[in-house]
Amino acid sequence: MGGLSLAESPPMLRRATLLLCLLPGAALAQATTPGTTSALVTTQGVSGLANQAECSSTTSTATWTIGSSVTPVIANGDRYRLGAATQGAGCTSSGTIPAGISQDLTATGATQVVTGVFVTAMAATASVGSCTQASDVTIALCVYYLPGGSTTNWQLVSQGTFVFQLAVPPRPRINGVTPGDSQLSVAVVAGDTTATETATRSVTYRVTCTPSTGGGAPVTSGSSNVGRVICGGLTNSIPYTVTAQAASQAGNPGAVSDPTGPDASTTPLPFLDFWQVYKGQGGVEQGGCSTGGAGALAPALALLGLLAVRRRRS
Amino acid sequence: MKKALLALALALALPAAAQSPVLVSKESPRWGSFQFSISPFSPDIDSEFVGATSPPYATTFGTSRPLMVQGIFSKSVWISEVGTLDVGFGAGWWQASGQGQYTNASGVVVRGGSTTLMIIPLQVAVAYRFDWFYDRFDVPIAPYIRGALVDYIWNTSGQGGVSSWTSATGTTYRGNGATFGLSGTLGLALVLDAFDTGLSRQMDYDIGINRSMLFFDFTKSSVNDFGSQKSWQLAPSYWAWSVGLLFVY
Repeated sequence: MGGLSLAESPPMLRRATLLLCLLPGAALAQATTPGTTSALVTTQGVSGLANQAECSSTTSTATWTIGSSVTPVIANGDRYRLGAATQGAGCTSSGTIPAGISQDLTATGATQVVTGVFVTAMAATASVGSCTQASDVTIALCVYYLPGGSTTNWQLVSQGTFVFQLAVPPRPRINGVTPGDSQLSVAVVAGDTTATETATRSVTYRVTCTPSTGGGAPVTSGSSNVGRVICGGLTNSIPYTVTAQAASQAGNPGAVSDPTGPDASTTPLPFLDFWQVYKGQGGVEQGGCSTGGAGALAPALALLGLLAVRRRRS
Repeated sequence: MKKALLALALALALPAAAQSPVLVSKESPRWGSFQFSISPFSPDIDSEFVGATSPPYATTFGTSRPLMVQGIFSKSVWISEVGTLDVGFGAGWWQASGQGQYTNASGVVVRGGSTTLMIIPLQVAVAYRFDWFYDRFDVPIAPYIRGALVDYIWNTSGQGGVSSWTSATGTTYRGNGATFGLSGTLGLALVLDAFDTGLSRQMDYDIGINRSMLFFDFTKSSVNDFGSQKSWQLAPSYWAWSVGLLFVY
């Protein structure tokens, strides 16, 4: 086998050797790929999303978590610049460094958390436009590395995406209300989309039950993404007016549904369940395990089973 | 010429035989059987309330018969030329769902809330199946009879979980328990092996199933703690039919 040079080796072997030689180069090229950055808007807390209110608020801020492809040196005065761009254009990687969405900051490490980044500045830099438009807008988050603070010898070291979720869910419809004991079970279905109301990917529903008279304050259910929403803690025998509202994942509230009630279907009552109805009518069953001869059957059968097992083993 | 034809036949047959090792030997020893079935079920709880204008079960759950699903594992304790005696244990599940009731000051009944009655039927069963028709004459039917001691574990629930009811004297009755009874079954099974004996032998070879049957039977039962005055009747008032599959292995 020995003595075979590369030139004399079969073509497949030569190709494999060449591939092995190129692999370290590919690994080096991969090391310069920008890292990943994400942003969390603190008011509604869903990572990577901002809603209409946050988009237009002058006080709403985001926290950026940067994963950089380079390790900066503080002593050298290395800095990061945060930038944003439209999704179509993407982050700039050569030429003139884009303007930042805030002041350049001291780069303290390859991973770094930056707080207090204004959401309105992110929207303006990425040319989001109106915060009340009907469609979501996805932007690119860009982090540039400025060695020694230089704006000429810069490098794109991290990037990510962020969505301004501006679409609001359509106005829901109440498909029926089933009264219960101190609660109403409300069947909510998604409404039809309109020009300004776009169906968003993830919608939750909230139901508000308002007492007609003397029933105290309105009660609002927790959010639910299923078809039935429970409005609990209500006062029995008081008719309620029921409305439903959808919210997008980022928290954009949709329009409130048409009201249902007040009528018999929206009046909680102390309903009796089957067992209570049965016993109330004089049913003889007493619940629990059987009594008398029948009750003795279970231990007797268990004893027989045990004896059978012992007999098989012996 | 004959030798050439014989060689060709062997050449065609041998690879097929090597791919599919169809057995020509006798079937594997039988150990027992497993069956599962479905049956429309409605307990005769309202038999306590003869003449009532709104008996509790029918008023709450209506007159429909939700399906009960059951399975029985059996051990064959006696196998003869005539048939097989099986002793087994079975379990199943059944549930009815309905709405609660509220009677207002005017006496009008309003429906609302949710309530359920759930039953887990357990049974110890002894069955005798007449295999003679199929084994002796290749007629693919197998009548059978079965007797069982049953224990229905039941649970009623309302909006807040397990139901409870407090009497005027302050005694509280929880809506769950267990009720014993007896049942008898008459049935007829169609032996499916008769329709594809090759596949039947292959199933026996591959997974040890000797026989597959489609069955249909009628069961009459009484589940009221053997006539206890303190028990309701959880068995249907009728001969309940069921259909299912039975595998002898």
